[in-house]
Amino acid sequence: MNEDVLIENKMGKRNPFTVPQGYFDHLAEQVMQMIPEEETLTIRKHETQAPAKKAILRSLRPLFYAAACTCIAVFGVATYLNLDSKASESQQLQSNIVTVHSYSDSYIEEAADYAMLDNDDIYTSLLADM
Amino acid sequence: MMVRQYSEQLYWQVRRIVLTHEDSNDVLQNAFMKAWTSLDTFHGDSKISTWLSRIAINEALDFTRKQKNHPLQSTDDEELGLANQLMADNYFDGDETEAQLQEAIAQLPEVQKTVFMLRYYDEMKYSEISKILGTSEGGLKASYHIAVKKISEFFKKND
Repeated sequence: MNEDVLIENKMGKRNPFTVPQGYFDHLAEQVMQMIPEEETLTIRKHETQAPAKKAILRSLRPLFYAAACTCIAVFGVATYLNLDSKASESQQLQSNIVTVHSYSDSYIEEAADYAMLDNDDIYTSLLADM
Repeated sequence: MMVRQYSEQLYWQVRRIVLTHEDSNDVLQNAFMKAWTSLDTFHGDSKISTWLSRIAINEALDFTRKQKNHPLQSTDDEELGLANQLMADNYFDGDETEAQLQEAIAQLPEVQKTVFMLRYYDEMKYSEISKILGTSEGGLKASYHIAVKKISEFFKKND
């Protein structure tokens, strides 16, 4: 005979455990009551997490403002310096052009005078130097 | 609906592992909560009863594992023996032999214990137990026969 049959013959298959009276009638209700509680807890958790995030953002707001002001100031100074250096550069360039321009005009006139000299003018000038 | 339909069957599966009513009630509620929160992972590959049994049995085995690591019982209770503790329990109406059978089952390793209870008390098919425990049918048959042998030896020793 199989050993499990021997066990069955000796002890049977009766369930020796019991439960409080009406336990199974209320078990489903008990479990169903737990489910909304859990869901509410999850929702509450989300709700409490959102204000917490807002509070953190609110406390960091002055830092954001300070950072924004610094950025604007740095950008402004950089732009001003950049414009200033460009203006001085262009001024310098203009004066250079004027100098070159004036220099080249006098030189051309002198060159033209020199070019218009003929042989008689050259002898006259040499005799005048003697 | 799901709770109403399966709660009693699941309760007895849990109770045979956990043994006391209070602990079984807690474990079963946790199991239902787990099932509820992971309902979207159930794709209908197995019957819903099989899926629920898997969750409940795993929860019960987890509970007994934790109890072994952090025993809440006093040393006096341990010395008393499980059979005597059961006899003193208000929600146990078995005789001494039935209490001893529970003690013998409680001493088995997890898989042997679970397969013995599902087969012996619930007369569940090996194919169904295999889906619950995720073990091959051949392995389960071997575990069941070892469990039966160990229980017989327990009674021979105590006779």
